[in-house]
Amino acid sequence: MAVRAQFENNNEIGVFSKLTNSYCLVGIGASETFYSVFESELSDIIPVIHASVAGCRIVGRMTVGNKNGLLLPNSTTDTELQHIRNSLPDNVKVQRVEERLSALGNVMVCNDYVALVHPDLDKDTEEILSDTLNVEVYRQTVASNCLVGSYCAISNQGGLVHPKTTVEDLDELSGLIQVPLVAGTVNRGSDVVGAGMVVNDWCAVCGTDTTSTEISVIDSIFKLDPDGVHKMKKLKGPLIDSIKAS
Amino acid sequence: MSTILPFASKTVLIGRPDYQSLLDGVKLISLGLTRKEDTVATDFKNLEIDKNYLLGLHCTTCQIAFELSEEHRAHYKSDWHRFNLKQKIRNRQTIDEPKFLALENKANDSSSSCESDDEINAYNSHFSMDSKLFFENNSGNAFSVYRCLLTNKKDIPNEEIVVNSLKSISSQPMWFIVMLGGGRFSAAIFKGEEAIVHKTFHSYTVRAKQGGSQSTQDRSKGGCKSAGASLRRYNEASQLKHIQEILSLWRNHIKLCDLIFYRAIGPNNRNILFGGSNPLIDKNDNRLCQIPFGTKKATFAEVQKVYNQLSTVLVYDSKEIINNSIKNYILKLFKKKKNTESRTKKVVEKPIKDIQKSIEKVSENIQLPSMSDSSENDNENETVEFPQSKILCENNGSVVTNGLKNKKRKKKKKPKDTIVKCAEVEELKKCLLQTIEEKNSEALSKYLLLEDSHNSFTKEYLEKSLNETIDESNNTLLHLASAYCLHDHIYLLLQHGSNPIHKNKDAKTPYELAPDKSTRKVFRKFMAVFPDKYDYDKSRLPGPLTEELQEELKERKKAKQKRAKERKVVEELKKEEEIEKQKFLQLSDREKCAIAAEKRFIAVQGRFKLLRCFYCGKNIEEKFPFEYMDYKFCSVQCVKNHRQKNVVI
Repeated sequence: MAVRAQFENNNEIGVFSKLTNSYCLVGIGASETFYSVFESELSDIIPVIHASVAGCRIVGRMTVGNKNGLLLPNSTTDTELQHIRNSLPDNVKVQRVEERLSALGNVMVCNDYVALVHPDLDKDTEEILSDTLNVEVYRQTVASNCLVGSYCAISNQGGLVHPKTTVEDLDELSGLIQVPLVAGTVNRGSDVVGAGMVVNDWCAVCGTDTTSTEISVIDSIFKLDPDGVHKMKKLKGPLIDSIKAS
Repeated sequence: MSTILPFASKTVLIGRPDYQSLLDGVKLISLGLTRKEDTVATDFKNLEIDKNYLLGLHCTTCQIAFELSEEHRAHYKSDWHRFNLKQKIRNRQTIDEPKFLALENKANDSSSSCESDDEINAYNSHFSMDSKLFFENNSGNAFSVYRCLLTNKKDIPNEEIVVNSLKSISSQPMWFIVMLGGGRFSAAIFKGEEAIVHKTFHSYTVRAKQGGSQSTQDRSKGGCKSAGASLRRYNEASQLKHIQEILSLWRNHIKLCDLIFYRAIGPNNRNILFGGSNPLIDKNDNRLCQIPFGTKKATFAEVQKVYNQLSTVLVYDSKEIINNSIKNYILKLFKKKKNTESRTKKVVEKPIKDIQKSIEKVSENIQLPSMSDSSENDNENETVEFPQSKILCENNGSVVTNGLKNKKRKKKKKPKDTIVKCAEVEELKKCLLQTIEEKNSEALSKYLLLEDSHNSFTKEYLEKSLNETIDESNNTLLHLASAYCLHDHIYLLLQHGSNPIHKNKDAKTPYELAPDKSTRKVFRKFMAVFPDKYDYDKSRLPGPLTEELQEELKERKKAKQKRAKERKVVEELKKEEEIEKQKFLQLSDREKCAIAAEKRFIAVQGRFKLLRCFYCGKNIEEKFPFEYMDYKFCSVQCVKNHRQKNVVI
């Protein structure tokens, strides 16, 4: 089930963290409660790396990556790059790219096989992206927004896109990414889906404002809790029993 | 901008009866641009029938459906999709594939793919040329109205809204125009053509001869304490106060106004109007808009001019006129662009022109003194293309005085002479060379004396022939004479002007070529006799060899020989001594004793025999010897050594 977290009273989890199937980056200097959410969920499976990019904590918006690799903007300092490289698993390629649109997380979104990118993105960057992350790159907009990274969150299981995406666009996108997509919101109606949550194949983190409806949409589209229904069934019996008893 | 738009056939003021007649069936003229949304919607309807469309194998940007997902994916990598995507982002119409291919080919032909994009851009920016909107009506007339009168939104306006607002302009619109800048303030509220209220004043706030307001200066460089600065500071404050007073007085009028036009350049001026806790004008007021054209300094006349320009509607006969002129303008715009590109080429051409100009100037300068001389000159000067030097030469030729002309004649004669003489020189050289080869100094002296007897002319040629090279390695006669050690030749040649500073191919002077000392001496001897005849430093002679020097050298040599002889005698003596020593040492101790005894015996007899150390054989005649047993020694060391050698048991 998706978990809720808050970064210093801010619900935009996708801004301050980047979650993939082989690593997780979190912005430095947050409270221990924020880190503990990630660490309790992930730390025994993948590394949770406390990092900054270009001196900023908005690692989620500055970087793009999947289980194969990680792209960092040109403004990343050498020490930051070294730290990230040291902390990541060995099979993850790290690459710094010279791109005019330096907030890579805002202009690109990807799962382990497909990436959607901003239409104006540099061709060199596109090439580096496909080489480093081993993905098919498509230039596309999401609900007429160029910032595909901000307005959608995708994993290998499914994707959540801007709430105003038309049905045609949804069909087109899901045909492209080859995963089911749904238009929805996070953080009590926020349309910046990509910035509001992070997701990988088995785990999602979103802001504390996220309503339970939104959580249930997230859970179902990202298939985070396949046996959730069974769990409820299992619980139902004892619960009712206890109510009866009291 | 009047160049873009054609001249209007007539002008109509807003709100007048003839204005109302214009509005019959009014429509917005679109200049090449339609909103994308409409077309997309219609296209969708057609496509919805396609079943592939429902499967998600389609591109909404390019409005195309695919049968296979591979095709679908490949499409996203195509340039066409990329182009359409960018068009879509910029709210422009997307194009279908054949059109795109045609466009691409065109772009390739003109070798810049961005040009078509630029053209669209240019077209777009002039959709509302002169910040105006263009309309047509039922009577076929076209007319233009300032956009800010109809809508204050910056994006391309909705036709319905614009037409509605065009129709709703009342017969006597109330406009408030305020202009502020450079310490000047002018504002007026117009109702119809008449200004109900107006106020204009000027206060001294701009720094004289420096520009910029005092407050900006204070902020950037700190407060200045001059009288002028404080005056300007005070004026700024009072201006603000004054404006506030005026506008608060007019508040009721302003409320009734349909539109507010302002001109306030810079943050300072804008701050006066919109800043403060209680702004004079609300920044978010719907009626508010900037004056959409350039204005002069704020005076009441200027405000009236602004009102007139805003309220004038330009009426054209048909919309084609506007369209054509705009198209022409865009074409011109591109020509201009190309011109700027070609300008770089012109820069390269320019220097050449400059050079030609400078040549012209030079020829003019030359012309002045020679003007009276000949008419030929004038002709020459007119031909600009001649290189500068040539012109100068030709001018010189005809400007020279008579005396110079004579000299020239002489010079002309000379070459003939030299040709004749050259043959003589060659002959002479051959003869001289022969003498050297034969090593015949008498023949040489004969030749040289023979030549000497001639007049000064032949002497010159003799010198020349002596100093000219005679073989491939650039040797002169002197070189050869020196190399063959022909002492007499060298001396004679030097005497008759064969210069020893000439170097051959190996950069060697004759002196350096000399193989032995005697030959070198000849040079030095000559130097001693004629110390000033040649530059001996350059001919690498070490110095003159005078008679005194020769004497001195001889003496030195003698002394040296003497010393050598003496040394030889001493050495011989030493040698003898050494032999004696060796002989003595080879003797046994007994023999030595015998010699010693013999010596004593001889001494008694008065004959001479040396007494020597028994161990090292040194002469100890004059010394008192160290003794043990019967042995005699020069030193204690010898005693010790002797004893160690002959251990007595």
